[in-house]
Amino acid sequence: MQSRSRKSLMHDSVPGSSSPHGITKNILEMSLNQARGEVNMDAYLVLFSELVSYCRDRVESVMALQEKLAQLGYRIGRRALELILAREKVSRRETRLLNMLNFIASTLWNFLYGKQADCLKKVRDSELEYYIEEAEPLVNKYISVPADYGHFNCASFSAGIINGVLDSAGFPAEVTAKVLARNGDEDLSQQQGQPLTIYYIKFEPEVLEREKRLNG
Amino acid sequence: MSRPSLQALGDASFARSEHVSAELLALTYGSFVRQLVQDYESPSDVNAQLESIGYNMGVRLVDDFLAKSNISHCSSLAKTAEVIAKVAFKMFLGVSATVGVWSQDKKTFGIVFDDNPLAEFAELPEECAGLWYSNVLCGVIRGALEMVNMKVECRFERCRLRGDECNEIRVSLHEILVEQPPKGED
Repeated sequence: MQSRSRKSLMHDSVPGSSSPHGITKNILEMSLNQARGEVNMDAYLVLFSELVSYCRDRVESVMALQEKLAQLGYRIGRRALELILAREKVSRRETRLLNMLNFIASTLWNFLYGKQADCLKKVRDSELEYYIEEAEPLVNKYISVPADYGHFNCASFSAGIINGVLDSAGFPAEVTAKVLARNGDEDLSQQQGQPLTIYYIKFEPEVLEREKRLNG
Repeated sequence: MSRPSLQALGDASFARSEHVSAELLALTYGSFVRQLVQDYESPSDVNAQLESIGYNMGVRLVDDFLAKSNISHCSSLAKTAEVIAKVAFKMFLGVSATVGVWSQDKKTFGIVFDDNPLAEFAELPEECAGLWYSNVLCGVIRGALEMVNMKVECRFERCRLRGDECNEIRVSLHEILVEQPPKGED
């Protein structure tokens, strides 16, 4: 992914490669390895806000809206995992829990947002629960949540992506995005007032069982 | 005429903007279209819905465009066409387009482009043969131009997902809206 550059937008055009239907290449003939470059962030965020309003107009409750966004993200996660694995040329995917979590917080994050996740932590006293903290999720940049939406967080979309990746990698889990108001307690005191997004990941017990088996 | 500089303006506007990965855009758009296909029965309904989503985007993006692109007033439709193709497409999608064939009455032109970041990784299944996958772009152009007082209609003419050799959007000018002073006391 480091090789991503603005110049690499062009497809590699193999002379004479034509699909049976016409002059363009069949999707299966197109290279997956080449990074597709970059697009304008504002264009992306305006599209995302339309996606949110589209979903909002079709659900009854704030909870349902979160779920809908997560569903849309889920599809992305499933595809992103395959694409990343094909790109990174790794012939196997992670089977261990911690490695998988690191993959999410670094490789996946880098692929999606061009940076690493702010931090990955384990919930105290639980072997099944983890969370990823993010101060400024990309998708929330231009979103202001109305007061009557409570703890609604558009980053549910990103939570859905994580869920999609974990599910297709064989780590069934429940992933939710929460907002944490920073009120100066504990170790979150540096940036008071700015809400923090938490992606809370709770694995199914079977994941832990397998983990124990693999530990031998 | 500052003809050669349009391309440079487009490049500069793109370089000045903040970016996200094209994959993220393609995957997000794909997931969105997929949702529409699920929610609406016929591809033509999906096309219409995509167009109206794009319209809302265009209405918002035009401000961004005017603020950041250093484009001054477009004196003619021909100039407008060039600006959309060379500056706007580049600034927002990172790809350049060209102005295609003009109609006889000089009111309809084409925007022709090869690479389409929206349609990466996408394939049209048979049941979606009537879908214009990237129809959102038509709406964006219509919404943006309406904000600068041009009423246009856009439609896809060619799409690479349908096996065409390039993508083409036809843009037809219907009327130039006259700015009305707000009604009220004199």
